[in-house]
Amino acid sequence: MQEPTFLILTALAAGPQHGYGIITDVQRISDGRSRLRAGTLYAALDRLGEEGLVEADREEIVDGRARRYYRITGQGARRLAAEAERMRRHSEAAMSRLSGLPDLPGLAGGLA
Amino acid sequence: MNGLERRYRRLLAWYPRDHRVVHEEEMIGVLLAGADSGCSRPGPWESADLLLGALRLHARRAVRRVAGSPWQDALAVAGVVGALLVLLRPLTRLAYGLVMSPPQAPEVLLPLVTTVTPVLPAAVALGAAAMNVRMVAAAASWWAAATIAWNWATIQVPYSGAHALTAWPWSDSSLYLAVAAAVALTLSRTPRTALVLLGARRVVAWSLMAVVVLLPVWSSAAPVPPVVSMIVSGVLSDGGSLLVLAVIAAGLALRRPAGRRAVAVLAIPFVVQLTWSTSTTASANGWLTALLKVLALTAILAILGRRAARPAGDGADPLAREA
Repeated sequence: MQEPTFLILTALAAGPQHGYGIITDVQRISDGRSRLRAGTLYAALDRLGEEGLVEADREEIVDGRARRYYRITGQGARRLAAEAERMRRHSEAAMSRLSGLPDLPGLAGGLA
Repeated sequence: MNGLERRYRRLLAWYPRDHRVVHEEEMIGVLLAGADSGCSRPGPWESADLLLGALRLHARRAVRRVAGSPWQDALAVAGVVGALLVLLRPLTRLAYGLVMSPPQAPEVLLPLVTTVTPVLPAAVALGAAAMNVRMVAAAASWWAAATIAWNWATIQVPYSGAHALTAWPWSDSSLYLAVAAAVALTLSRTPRTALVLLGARRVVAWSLMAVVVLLPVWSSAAPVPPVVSMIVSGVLSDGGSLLVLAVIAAGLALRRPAGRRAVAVLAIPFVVQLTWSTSTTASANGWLTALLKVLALTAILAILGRRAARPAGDGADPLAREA
């Protein structure tokens, strides 16, 4: 699963959100390191909708403009959980191996 | 509407229509909300991201259309019919060669034998297609195409040397056919559908007809009445491509969209060949006739494909449905 997809599903796991809400939430989740742009977001939503991982929730009109909310489906949540579990195993493996290394500058305090 | 919004709309015009209908206003809202205040035009990264997004949506819709059932049927029919022609062409040639000029020496027999080498892979491809083993069908059909290319190289290169390379492999219409069949069988998920659609009786009848039509192809090298050879060479200008196309079109006049689409799939390489073969012998007159031929072929294909319009709902936006 690519990072934008992972971050979009993570954002929607908190509850239905509209496009701009997803963009700002992704920025928050990634500590401002990942900036999702509209082209990437809507291409990803199109694909996720086709795969049944995301669906349209509701629509409201704000300042005369349609604002559509999206929500994660059960299948989407399962896929996200599987991906998060995979990443957790990988990062645990990396952390446990790094903790076996002699102290390296820059790592100190980074490993709990 | 301010300048920024107008520029965003210009970029969104590149998006697929079904996507624009559902998401354009929403995307404009997102883009304007994310734009820095006082900004009058989209930044280069943002523009590139929007255009890339449009490209991805178009690509996905194109894949979805090809994967959709009408084109799947057509790919199966085109693959099987193409493989059948790859099988029948050399066999017909061998039969004709043996009947008309019984081989006296190995140098006569050898070219005849090498022509037959695509027969085995083509037969394997057809057998695998009949049993719906798509990987084997695809691999065997590429093997058949490679065999034809190899035969061409071994026969032609020693005679015409470097000059042959400029013409290769665009001069051999059977190679085009084999490649088109291989592409179709590679993309087809259920090649067996072709036999269900065509029916065993139609396949046999069509094969016999193809043999009868293909026989004169080889007679142009044999002593025949001048009138016949004139007609044959007239029909066969451009390496028999038009003739083969006619065989395919006649054989597939199924009055079914899948048949017409299959004709379109198989005809694409012939249109390319026609353009190429004329462009290599370029004269002003040649270009004009090539253009006319390509236009005529395109018109035939357009008429054949006219009624094969894709059904409504195909390629619709997956997020258009309200929950």
